[in-house]
Amino acid sequence: MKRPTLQIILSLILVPAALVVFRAAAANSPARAITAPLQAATVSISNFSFQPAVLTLKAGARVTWTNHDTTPHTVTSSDKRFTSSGGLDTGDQYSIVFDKPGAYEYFCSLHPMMVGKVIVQPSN
Amino acid sequence: MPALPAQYTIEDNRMKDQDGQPETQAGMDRRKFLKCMAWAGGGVLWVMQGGVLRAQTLSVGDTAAAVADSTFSFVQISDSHIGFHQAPNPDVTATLREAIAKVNALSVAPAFVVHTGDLTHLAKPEQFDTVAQVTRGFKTEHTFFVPGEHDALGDNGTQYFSRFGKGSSGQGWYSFDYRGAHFIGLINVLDFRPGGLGRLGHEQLEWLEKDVKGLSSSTPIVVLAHMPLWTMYEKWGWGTEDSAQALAYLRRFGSVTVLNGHIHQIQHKVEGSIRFYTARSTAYPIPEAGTVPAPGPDASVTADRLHSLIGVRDVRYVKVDSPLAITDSALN
Repeated sequence: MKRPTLQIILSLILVPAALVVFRAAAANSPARAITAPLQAATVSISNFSFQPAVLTLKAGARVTWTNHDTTPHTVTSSDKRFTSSGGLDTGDQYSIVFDKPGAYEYFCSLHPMMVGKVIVQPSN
Repeated sequence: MPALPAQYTIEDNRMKDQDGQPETQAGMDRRKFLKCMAWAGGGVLWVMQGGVLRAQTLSVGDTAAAVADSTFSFVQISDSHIGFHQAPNPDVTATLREAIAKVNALSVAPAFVVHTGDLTHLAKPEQFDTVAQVTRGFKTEHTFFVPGEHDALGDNGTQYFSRFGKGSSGQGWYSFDYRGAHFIGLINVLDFRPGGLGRLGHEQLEWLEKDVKGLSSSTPIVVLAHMPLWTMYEKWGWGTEDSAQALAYLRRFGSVTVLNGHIHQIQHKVEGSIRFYTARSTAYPIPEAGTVPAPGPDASVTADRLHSLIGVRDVRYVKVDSPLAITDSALN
């Protein structure tokens, strides 16, 4: 039971993004997670735009969007390759873990001129 | 349900498919709803005069004179955003109620009310409940709706259509004739494409072409749609990418009036025989295009100014060969 115990301890002290990394790693290669933590990133939705509009990450990374506008927005995959957020009201967050390498384009289904992209690279 | 007067005809692409559908919240299906609307009593608010639309400030006191030479009138309201609760308007339900009271106070009752979309802010069931409950406060018997993109949030309009467009299958466009004028409710807020604007889609455009095909070119056309049917400001998404095709079908008519919402402010444009108008919101104003970084609510509006920037629209129709007049009234 060494691994679950370690996970609980880490849960208490690490940021949620790191938690996700470790949980993912626990199923596969704990050593990798500890020595080379995967990336996590945030995207701010403000002034009707995704900032940054383009993100480059390693596979397994978690992206969290936060809507800072007083208008609702969505994070909607342009080609349905990841689950869409539905409406995000002011202050709402939405997270996706990108496990597979590739370019994931998305937009706001309320304001389709708002577009963004997540580029996921192999984690090595 | 009394028989429909012969001179009023109703077209709806889905009517043929919807027999046997459950009744709406109002206790009637869409077909009955449109039929009832068709013989609703005549108020006055479209004023058509020599092909030029006039806008004037209309107070309740002005209505009777304006109505005197009119055939009927109707009222447009828009963008109620029930569920919004931030600056500059923490109580959008209250301002919708005020708008309804203002309409109810008109000296001559409008024939009906149209709501050009964004009834709700987040398409939540309780928000639709509030809209249904509050809009029952209209003395006017019938209210026609077209959805805004906020009403289609998350389910591409399924919930909206089940409540405000009963009988539709998620497409929901319709038309009807009222006292010589042909009204068309279009939907340009579904199936948005990344980077795009509002869109009508091939199926709806085909329907529109057929819908107006048999009409005399002297028939006044009134089009309702949420997003502007002309490209006002592409950077903010204020337009409909395939509206040119729709307008091509309407250009032969001597009088076409397009009533839109979405941008929470009054804008006018004349293009040949086609006149475009956008309405104020009953909830909050949005700044003019390009004057601020983004088209969000204008939170800088102070409480004492809010009521001068939101409101309702009266439209008078005098007679077929004379112009339309549209009047916007702020809530104060």
